[in-house]
Amino acid sequence: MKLLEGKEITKHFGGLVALQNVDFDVHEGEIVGLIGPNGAGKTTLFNVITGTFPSTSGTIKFEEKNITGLKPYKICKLGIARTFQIPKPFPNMSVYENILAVSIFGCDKDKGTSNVKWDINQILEKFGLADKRETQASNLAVFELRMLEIARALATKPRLLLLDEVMAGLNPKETAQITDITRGLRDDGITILMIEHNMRATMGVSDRVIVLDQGMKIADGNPEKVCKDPQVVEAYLGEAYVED
Amino acid sequence: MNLTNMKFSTLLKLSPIIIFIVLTFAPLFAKTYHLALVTSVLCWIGLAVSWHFFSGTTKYISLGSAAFFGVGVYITAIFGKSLPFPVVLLLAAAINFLFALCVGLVTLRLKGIYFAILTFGLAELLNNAILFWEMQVTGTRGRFVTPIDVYYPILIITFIIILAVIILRRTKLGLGLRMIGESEDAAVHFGVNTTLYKVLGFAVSSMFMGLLGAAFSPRWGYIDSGMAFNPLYSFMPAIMTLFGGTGRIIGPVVGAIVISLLEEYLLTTFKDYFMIILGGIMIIVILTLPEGMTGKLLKKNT
Repeated sequence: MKLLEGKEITKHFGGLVALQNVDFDVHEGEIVGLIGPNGAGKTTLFNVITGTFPSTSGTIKFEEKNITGLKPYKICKLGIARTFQIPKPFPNMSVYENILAVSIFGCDKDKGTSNVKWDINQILEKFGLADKRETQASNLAVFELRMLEIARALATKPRLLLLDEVMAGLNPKETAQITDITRGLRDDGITILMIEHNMRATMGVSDRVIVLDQGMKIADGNPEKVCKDPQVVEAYLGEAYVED
Repeated sequence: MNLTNMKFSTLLKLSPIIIFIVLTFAPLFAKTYHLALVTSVLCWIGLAVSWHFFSGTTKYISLGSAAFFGVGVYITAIFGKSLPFPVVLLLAAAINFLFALCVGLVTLRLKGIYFAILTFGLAELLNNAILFWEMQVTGTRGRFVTPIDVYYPILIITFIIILAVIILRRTKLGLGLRMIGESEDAAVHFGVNTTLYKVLGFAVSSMFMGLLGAAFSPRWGYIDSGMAFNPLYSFMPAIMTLFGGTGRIIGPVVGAIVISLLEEYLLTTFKDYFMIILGGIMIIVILTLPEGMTGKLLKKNT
């Protein structure tokens, strides 16, 4: 079943074309990687999906329902949660308060839309934040902040989770940990769309990869196939990766 | 936690009630001057706490408190003779709430310095519009207000405001405003209807300010637009809150007490230089205690 479907999404910023006629879909239970060079329009696509700003044209459907142009808080309550590329915690709140605040506002009538019913303590436990419970978010280390971003998104009990470069700048061990968590979430019934620069990790974890370049979709398919697509190689991966 | 600590914290929690009781009976033994001083201090506390509820929490710095205070002052001047005082107060609260809803819908699209400038302009606009009206249309300057002792009205209203703010900060509205202040982007993406919460928070805060203005008005006996919309009512609540520390309600309370008493002392002791000295003290405090006077103290406890 198509959980999220975008049709001919176009976004202009003044004269700059950030996205041009992008069609995409995400099926229930998938992990989809969204890749592309800097400035390809990946984060713009996330922003359009979550309603940060409206698209210039095109429609987005979530669970067959048209969500184009809805405000971010409504989209969140429908069951789409996101993380930010540069983490945006509530800095003067404790880790616990961060998650509590979001769980109060993030989903309608406490039930949420996902099958997952973790409470805050379970979320903290799962993300290794249990002993940081009372720590102010502004005092967290980079990795912990990333964990908090994902944990906080989950507190809205989403069906679809958008991860924006959650692995950027992390060491291999931390990357592996996040990869495991991502897989675990999918097994728990949450569909995932993730922007990632870490190629190995993306290719390893994704069921399908969508490639954007200069605002256009240039490839869409299973990771092995996409890797060998000459257009993708030229635009993004570089020859070294293909030989690897 | 040991026993003495527990006693201390219960005492701290009970202190507002004790202070309220002491102040209730104060007119029986205090001098007129002291009562007048306490009235002013209480009014400043009320204004600072109201300001903190919205601007201190969301970081949308409003410099328009005088607009709402002044509207309250004028409502008492206009309706004070024909309606009973409590009804006038309720009217002032209602009008200010609606007025701030309209203002908020327009101005809260702006951020940072733009919001500050626009709200400041609003107070000046009202000041000058009323002045113009009085001079051109009615041919008067200012209005008489039936003077009454405002000690009890201000005392009760200030304590109601403090209580209301303490309660509101624990509701969804309070939490939403706090999330907006922490990160508006994150708040809106995690389910907070930011426009609604900002406008509502601004209206509630302005309603309190209007209530204080309406209650304070009879003290003067005569008011004009320059008194009612004095920019001091815009700047002082902001300065007091930043001075005392944001984050907790004790901040604006302490800030308002310290600054208004300091101002009174300096004004009576060095009447020509008091502004310079007050300014100097504020610069020192802001440089040495960026989190406000209560910031450091509260950090130690947590």
